[in-house]
Amino acid sequence: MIEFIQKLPLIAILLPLIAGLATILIGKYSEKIRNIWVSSILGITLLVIVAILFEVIRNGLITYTLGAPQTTPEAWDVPVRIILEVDAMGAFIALGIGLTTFLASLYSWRFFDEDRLGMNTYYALLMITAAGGAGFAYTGDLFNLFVFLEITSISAAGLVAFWSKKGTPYEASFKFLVISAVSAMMFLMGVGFIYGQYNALNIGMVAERMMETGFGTLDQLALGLFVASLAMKAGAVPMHMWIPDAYGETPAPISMVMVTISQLSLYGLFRVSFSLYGFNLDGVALGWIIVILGLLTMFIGVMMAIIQKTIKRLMAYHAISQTGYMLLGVGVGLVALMSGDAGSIPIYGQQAMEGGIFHILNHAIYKGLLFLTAGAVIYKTNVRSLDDLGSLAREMPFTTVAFVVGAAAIAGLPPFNGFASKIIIYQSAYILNPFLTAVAMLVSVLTLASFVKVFQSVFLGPKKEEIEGIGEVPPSMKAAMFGLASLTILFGLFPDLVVETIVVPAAEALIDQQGYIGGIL
Amino acid sequence: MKGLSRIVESIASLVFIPILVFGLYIMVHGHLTPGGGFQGGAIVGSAIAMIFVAYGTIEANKHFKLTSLLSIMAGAAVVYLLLKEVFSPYIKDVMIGTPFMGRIPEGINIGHIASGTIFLPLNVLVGLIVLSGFGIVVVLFNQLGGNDQ
Amino acid sequence: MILNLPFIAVAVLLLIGFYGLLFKDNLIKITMSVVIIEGAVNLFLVSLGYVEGAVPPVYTMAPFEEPMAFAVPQALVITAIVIGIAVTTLMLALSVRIYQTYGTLDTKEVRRLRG
Repeated sequence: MIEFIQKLPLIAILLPLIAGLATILIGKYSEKIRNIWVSSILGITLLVIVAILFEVIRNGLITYTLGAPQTTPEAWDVPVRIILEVDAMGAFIALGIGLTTFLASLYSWRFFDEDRLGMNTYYALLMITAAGGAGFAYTGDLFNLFVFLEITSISAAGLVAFWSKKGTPYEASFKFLVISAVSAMMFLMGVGFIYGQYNALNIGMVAERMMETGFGTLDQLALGLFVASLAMKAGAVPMHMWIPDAYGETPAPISMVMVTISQLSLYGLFRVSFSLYGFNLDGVALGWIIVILGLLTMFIGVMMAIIQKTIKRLMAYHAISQTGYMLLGVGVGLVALMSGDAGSIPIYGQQAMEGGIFHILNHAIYKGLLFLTAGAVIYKTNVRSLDDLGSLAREMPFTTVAFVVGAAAIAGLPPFNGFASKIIIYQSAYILNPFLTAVAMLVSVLTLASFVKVFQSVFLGPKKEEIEGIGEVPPSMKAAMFGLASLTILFGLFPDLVVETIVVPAAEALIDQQGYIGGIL
Repeated sequence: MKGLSRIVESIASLVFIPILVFGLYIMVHGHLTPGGGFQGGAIVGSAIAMIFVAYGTIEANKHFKLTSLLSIMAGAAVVYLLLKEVFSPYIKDVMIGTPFMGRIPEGINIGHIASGTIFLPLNVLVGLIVLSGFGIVVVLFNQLGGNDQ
Repeated sequence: MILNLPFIAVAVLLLIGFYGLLFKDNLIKITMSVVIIEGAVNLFLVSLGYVEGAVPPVYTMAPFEEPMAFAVPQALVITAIVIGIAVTTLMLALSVRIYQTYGTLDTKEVRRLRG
């Protein structure tokens, strides 16, 4: 029984992969069986991910070596083979991608009603993306990180270009693919620098050897390459141009999945700077760079969002702006941790990291809800621009309520989950520098203004003749929206419960570099 | 896309079989010489592209269908993953424990096929995946563009 | 000096690739620049594993006295080459689709998404 729990991370990666490739064979016989097969396999993956999360919180790290019974063979003390090392932070991030791929598969049962060509390949790519995302969150090896990063990006690029009527998704997917390929190559170059110096690819092993030999020029070069390439994939501001195109032109369930894929790159950035470099580097400089990137991202994201006229593009700019909150939270934590002594950690540093990490999960939930409601509106009316919509509140009451919940959460109004994570970030950033909190609150007010404008022009207003009698969306789409909305309200009403159980172990596991190394040696 | 002249057609069809055999040789000897599943699959994939160039789109599409290539890729991938995760100890016992293909020494040797144990079927399956992948790409590119005379 | 030659070649290839990516207009040329960058990074990884006077790391009829080259970078590069092929194929397929719907391959014309 113990051995079975040790094998769960491998099952979470392999199950969607094998089932996704088998979907192509099953889809030839019957469509309904294929839909039920896909959703049930992704649901089982979600349950496995939740089980791993609770196991790691209770019992500490799980390590699994692919192909050998233990991490280091009997005669040596060097870890061999590819090692999956799951700590609380990795298990926490895998929740996001598990939840969103499961809900996207439910939502897609009826979303593509008009022309159903090539749905087999769509579901197969969705499941391969889920497997790649889980692998990225669970691995403890640098090159394996690169491989899973590329698997996830290429499958996502295929999904972006899936449904096109006028040709614009092809352009968006091409831009996404060029940025993704070039940044992955820069990441691989950084991995080459690290391998050439230390002759090891395991993250814990490299951290141990770096502590013995010190931090040299090649390590600084590699750090620069890692930070630039991972920030490029996550959508920080100087490199954010691909996000509005890619999020705006895909079908709505895929936009939801792409939000969690960008968050995975953010997790990669945290893993490299905390567990690989850790206390070797000058954390104050890196922390301030991340804080300034976060501020710029928040501000420019919301400024560009106010002037948009298409629903999904507007929401994509807001996604960029919320990524800035996460960068701000963890950047403040990095500055606070490295500027004190090695033994005493200022309490606001850990709180800032908890706020940033909690915001990652909350953002996935409410941004997913907003994208699904936008998808519902487009599905029923076939119109994307804000000027042509109006008075949908009479026809689609369920969608209206879901939109109000999502908009209140993103603006940071109590009692929804956006308020809970934002107040933690405001409090801890204020202690570092009051200017940060001022900018964050200004961005929050502008977000609220932007969403009030969208709500008024889409759902309120006098009746338009084209939109009479369209009715509500099918039950499978309603179920996905209901799940996300209930999670929003639940996390907002009981934030202490969630933070104590899930977020605090994740933040502690990220800071604890010695524990990460001790897991494999 | 129109095909090339009769001489090229006949030579292409003659050369196709030796290329398949060569690709299979590189796939099977992956654990002894440089090569392995991916390289052998790429060789056979380029042979499929040669058939498309020599015979033209309309003639070659009768022999390579998109749905059957997709099924070969999916089936080989499922069998590969199942074999690697579930059945690997059993195959190793059969190939080294019993004298199935002769006794083999360890370390530096002149190269016995059976010393690869699980790698032998895995390489061939990876080669199948890669060659069907290349076949799908070639078929799709021929359907997408160009003007047929 | 002769041992530094692969790394100088990597730097030159990276410069050529980034020049093509930033300053050329045709979609096919952008694809080719990405392929050149991938080739440069693979060359960098392979040349990390060289030991002076080494033989290939295979056991079949291997000589006893000479050192063997490192085998790990070669495995990394095989994986990276396969990933590069997948990216190149997807970019070419998207270029064909863009040509069919937009009518041109010039990046100054393919700009329906803006703002």
